[in-house]
Amino acid sequence: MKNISNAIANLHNLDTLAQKKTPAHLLNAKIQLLTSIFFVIVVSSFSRTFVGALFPLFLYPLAILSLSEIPIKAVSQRVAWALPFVFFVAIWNPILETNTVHLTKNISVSSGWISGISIVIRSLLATSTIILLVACTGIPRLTQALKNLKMPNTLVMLFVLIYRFLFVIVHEAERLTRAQQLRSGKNTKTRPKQVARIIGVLLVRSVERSERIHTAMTARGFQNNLPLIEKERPLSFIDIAWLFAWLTFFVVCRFHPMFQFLNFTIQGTHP
Amino acid sequence: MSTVVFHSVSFAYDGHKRALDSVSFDIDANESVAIVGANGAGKSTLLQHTAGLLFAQEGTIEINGVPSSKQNVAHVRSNIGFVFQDPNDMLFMPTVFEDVAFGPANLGLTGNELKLRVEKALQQTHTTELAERPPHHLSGGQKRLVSLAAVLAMEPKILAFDEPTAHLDPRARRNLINIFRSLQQTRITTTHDLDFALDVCERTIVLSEGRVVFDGSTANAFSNAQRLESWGLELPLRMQKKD
Ligand SMILES: Nc1ncnc2c1ncn2[C@@H]1O[C@H](COP(=O)(O)OP(=O)(O)OP(=O)(O)O)[C@@H](O)[C@H]1O
Ligand SMILES: [Mg+2]
Repeated sequence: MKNISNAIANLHNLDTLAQKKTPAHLLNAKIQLLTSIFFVIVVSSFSRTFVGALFPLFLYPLAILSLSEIPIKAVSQRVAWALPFVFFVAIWNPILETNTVHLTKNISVSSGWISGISIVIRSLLATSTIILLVACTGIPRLTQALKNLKMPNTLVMLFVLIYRFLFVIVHEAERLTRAQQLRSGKNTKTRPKQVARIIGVLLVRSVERSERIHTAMTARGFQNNLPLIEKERPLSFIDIAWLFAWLTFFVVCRFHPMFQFLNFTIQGTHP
Repeated sequence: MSTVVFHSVSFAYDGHKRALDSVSFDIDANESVAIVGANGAGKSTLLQHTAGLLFAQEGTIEINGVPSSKQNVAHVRSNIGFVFQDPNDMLFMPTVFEDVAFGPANLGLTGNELKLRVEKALQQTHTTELAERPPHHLSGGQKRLVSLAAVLAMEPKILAFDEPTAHLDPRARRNLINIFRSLQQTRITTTHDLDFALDVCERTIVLSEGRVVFDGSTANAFSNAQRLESWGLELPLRMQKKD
């Protein structure tokens, strides 16, 4: 529970990082969002046996990282949180995929290792990029950008409320576990039955609290829009150039033979 | 001119007995009124009715001459600023500044106008230095002041406070009293802090089991220890005789 709450508290701190005024932050939020979406699409479109061709793509998150002056730790911590899930998915590949891949003339491994590694690298690319996107724009600007890109309002609001709701759940969970720990004396082990009870109470409390928060928001004139304090800068030449430069780079990485080294051909038939 | 009028208002939560029972009163512009009563007397319920968060099941409520109903809810809410009991329910934006700006921005303010509005509210509540801090990292007392700023920034004609002094240390409480005194708006405050009521509210309405059992000057309300006890209340500290 502690880890989850830390991770989510960290997520909140991303909002604070988004207050910076670096070149990366000053890019129009729509452009940042679009570039990141294209990035994720390109990254996930690579064939499963591509490993080497993925490396040039790290240039994008690294460029943002250096432009935005966001501490590398802020990104790596959050990526690390996602890693166990990624490993959990990737670990099945070596077990389930057993075709042979020749690395050199003499060394060969099962194809599952290659595709497993490919999944891990692609996840690193995608999560770090999304974290940097949030850290450079912040939720209010991001929601506005989603809306400007004609995303349905209901979906945008869902996104905002889930984001808000996460903190509520964690806050309530912290209070509950603290109260429970304080009263459990020497008996530090939590029994499954207790956990189930706590989760039940947690849900009820979170829903009630969310209702109060929503009431408080409507009492302050909230009409399903997060207002922007500073208006988004209109698109400039730099924004457009930034978008197209990166799109070109992504497409080149994806298709140009120059980047096809270290991609392996699999022998044998696919199941 | 009366700004808040309750006329025989009754309300019961689903399947419970009445939380408000035929409540009537009217409050004039720029009055400061305390709502007191024991736990469960119906104070918060009453306050939520004034703010257009609950609606009368029987009787009528008027806010600045307009009946409060689901249809007129926008009017009611633009007239009333509601400071919640728990500031954690109110603050959620990344910085204090943005949180205070949330309300006026919803009213359509932008740019410099918005900025001035926020700065003024921060000044009024002595929280200017907190502007860039994330609200969830503030102390309870600071959160309270910021949530007050968030409401003041909307410049409502009427202010409703639910237990504004709960959990405040003596100095923060004193600070709040001073801020309270500097406000010009019509103020309705529920409180268990009868000393606070004596300090900042010239008038007091006492609720008991959802009914108005007293409505008059605050000094008068607390003058009789026996009567206070029958309402489930105790003499304000400063009126208690030292043994
Ligand atoms: N959401 C709710 N659902 C059902 N009953 C409620 C709800 N909120 C309050 N009540 C009941 O309505 C009555 C009045 O509650 P209210 O919260 O208005 O009292 P209060 O005077 O504000 O009390 P306190 O001093 O403890 O804050 C109580 O009997 C309470 O149990
Ligand atoms: Mg109450």
